[in-house]
Amino acid sequence: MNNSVKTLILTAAVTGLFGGTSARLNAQPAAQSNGQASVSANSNVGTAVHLKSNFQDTGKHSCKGKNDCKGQGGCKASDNGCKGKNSCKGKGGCATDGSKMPDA
Amino acid sequence: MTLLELQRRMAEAVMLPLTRTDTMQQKARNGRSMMAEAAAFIKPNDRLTSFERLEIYNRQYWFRIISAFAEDFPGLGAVVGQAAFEKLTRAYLTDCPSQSFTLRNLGSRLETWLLEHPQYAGKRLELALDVVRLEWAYIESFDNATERALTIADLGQLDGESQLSLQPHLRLLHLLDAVDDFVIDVHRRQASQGVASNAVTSAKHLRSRRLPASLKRGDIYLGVHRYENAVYYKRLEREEYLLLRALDAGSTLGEALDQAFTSSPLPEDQRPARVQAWFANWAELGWFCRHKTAAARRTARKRVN
Repeated sequence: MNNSVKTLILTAAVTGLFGGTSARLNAQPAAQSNGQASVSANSNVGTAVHLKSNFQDTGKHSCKGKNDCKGQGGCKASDNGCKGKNSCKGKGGCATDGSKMPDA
Repeated sequence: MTLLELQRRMAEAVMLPLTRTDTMQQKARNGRSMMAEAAAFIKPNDRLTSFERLEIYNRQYWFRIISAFAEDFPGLGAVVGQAAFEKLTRAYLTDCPSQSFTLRNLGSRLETWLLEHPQYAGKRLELALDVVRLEWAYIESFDNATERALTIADLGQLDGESQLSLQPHLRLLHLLDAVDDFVIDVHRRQASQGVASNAVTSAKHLRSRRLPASLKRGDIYLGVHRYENAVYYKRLEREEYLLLRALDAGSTLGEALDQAFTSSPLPEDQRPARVQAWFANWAELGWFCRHKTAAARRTARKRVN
């Protein structure tokens, strides 16, 4: 690539970063009713993966034997987010009966 | 016997692999009779011998980790089939027992182990390895942290010498064609079977999904990421994958763009628009965070297959 093309591409990258960041900051965080994530119409999240240990599971024994939220990842805020993973100690996302943690 | 000695002895006994009929072995790893070993630190009662009481814990330990492993790798079970998956599971967990407080890490050594023991994958080693990479990436993406994404203020000084870091939950994979569709289908079938089902015994059912016909490497590039508390498999163009991988490895923005388009068939006049769209999409998904140190990048580099 010659230098003018490189400059154009670099400018495009920075422009895209600004545009995407603005869109994210202005977006509503709630998921849409069809279950798709709420990003702009021309954005692409990918295909959602469903495991029985995924975040929506509200069954009993939500932490059965695995316990792991310590990366402050998906368990940090979701009810039963750690179902099947067992390390929600102190994180509040892993009630075994589907209930939320009581307020402190 | 100190408490520590007792704990280690108990752990050694509980983690001893089961027999083919799922009972406790008669001999310990050191060749000693398990009957004598159990009697040394477990009291019998009026219904069970020391051996029988210890066997309960031995069996439950193995049933639990076999179940957890099967839950994490249903796609692998579907590729190799039920009987082979049960053999693979027991062999892997014997060679690579749980070393963590969390069973979430149970499959962390599976890819390496399977490369060293290809006989357990049968004739579909390449496919099995890709499925393992994808299913492990799911676990990583599910659990790993989300750091604060870049804001407009962070972008103020951006130029070709800038470095960008990727979110810890983002994993980049280069896989065989259609592996993602296959794994998604298997996981959805598993989810529809409900929590009460036993994934080990359902592997045969899951395999009824037609396996991908193409085994040509290089067909798909994926970003496995978490967005609004769900994990997604996002297909990437080859140049997108190379660009993200270069940024992840610590290349500057200018270097990464160069690497992405080396030997790319994409016409030069189309590249700026494509790059702008990619960066806009990634930024909207919050994939970029503040640049990490070299040490942190080395850790994060494990995300790349």
